[in-house]
Amino acid sequence: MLIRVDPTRSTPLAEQIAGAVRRAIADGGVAPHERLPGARDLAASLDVSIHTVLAGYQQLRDEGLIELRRGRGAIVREGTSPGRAALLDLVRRLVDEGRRNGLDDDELVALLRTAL
Amino acid sequence: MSRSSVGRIAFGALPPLVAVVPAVVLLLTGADRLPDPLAVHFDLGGVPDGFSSPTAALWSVVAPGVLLAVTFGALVALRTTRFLAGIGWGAAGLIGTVLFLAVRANLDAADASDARLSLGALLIGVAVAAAAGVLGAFLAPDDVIAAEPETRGGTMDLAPGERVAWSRSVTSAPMQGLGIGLVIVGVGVGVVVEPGSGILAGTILAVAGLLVLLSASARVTVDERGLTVSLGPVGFPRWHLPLAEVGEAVAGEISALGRFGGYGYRVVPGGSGVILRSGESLIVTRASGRTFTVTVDDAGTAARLLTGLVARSGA
Repeated sequence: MLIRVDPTRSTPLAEQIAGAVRRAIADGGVAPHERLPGARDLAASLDVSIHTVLAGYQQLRDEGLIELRRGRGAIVREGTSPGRAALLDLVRRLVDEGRRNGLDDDELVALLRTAL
Repeated sequence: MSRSSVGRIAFGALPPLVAVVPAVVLLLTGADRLPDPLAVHFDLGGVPDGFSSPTAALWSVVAPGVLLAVTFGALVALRTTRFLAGIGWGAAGLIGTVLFLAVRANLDAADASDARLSLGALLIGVAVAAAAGVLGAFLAPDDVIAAEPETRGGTMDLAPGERVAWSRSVTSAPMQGLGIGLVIVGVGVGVVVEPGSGILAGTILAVAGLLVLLSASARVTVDERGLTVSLGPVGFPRWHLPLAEVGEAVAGEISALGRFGGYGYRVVPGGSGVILRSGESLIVTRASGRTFTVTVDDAGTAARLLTGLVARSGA
């Protein structure tokens, strides 16, 4: 699994980490039931704070992509499909693009509805 | 028949034949110091329980040598691997040593029933077998080993301030199977089969099984610090190659038994490797020219990242 982050970008590092893991799940770079690198190890690899990595992992847990267990680390959830990860990635990019174009939450949801 | 296949047959067939020579020479030259009949088989206490004439004994020394020579000559010629070469040389070492010591036990015995062969002879045989096996696996010449793997390289473009990490875990099914098997056999021997005296042997087997299980997986990491391979859930032992030591990084398919002679941490001529299965591997050539190989999926990405990181650190 390849994780690339760039501190010079405006997106917070934790979100960049979550995005990279999401895309790795989406393109099969990491499979369901596989263990993600330990937060401490990944933090050392990327030269970021362990809290940054944990914040990224928590975001993925809230999206239902991974499980976080004390002592066992982060594991891609059994039922996680690459398709679902790809969809979540699209949603993130949709929201980002919307924000960049000055849309608020209601306008974004309304926009999404018009496509349904 | 090509020159290389003659070489392969000889590499497998010669060691067993050479191994029985000392026993044969001792039988022929020491005839006047050997009893007739000879003790040719011993029980666990070292007391002879089988006898035969010197001529018959000569055949029972030559026969296993010829049998092993034919078997391993054919096997090594058909499918040459470091693993087979090691097993063949090891078997030759074992029978050569045990047969020689068995004949020697008869030397100067007034009667064959006075000959003694201690269990130590078997231990010496096992030690010689282990040494011969390692030597055989090591010496297996390059034209005997599967050809150099086809590799693919390339480089990843990295922005100056970008932080990149690649990490992947790899698990060895053969080692997991072996580990679980050893634990089951160990518990079986220690508890079920022979309570009491079997405890020690059972514990040793079970602990060996646990150690194999602990080293049946690894995590491979490529980042700004270089390449790191850490074994098992404990992450120990750990191998680290700083970027400065990385000469070239490519991905290729390797054969665990053919090229490395087995699984685990392997040292072979020209390099070393953490080999948990056959197949896709990251192959790094160090500045010294020696290679470090680790079997891992998606090794192409790891190789391109490592190459990109080296390029960026040098720029």
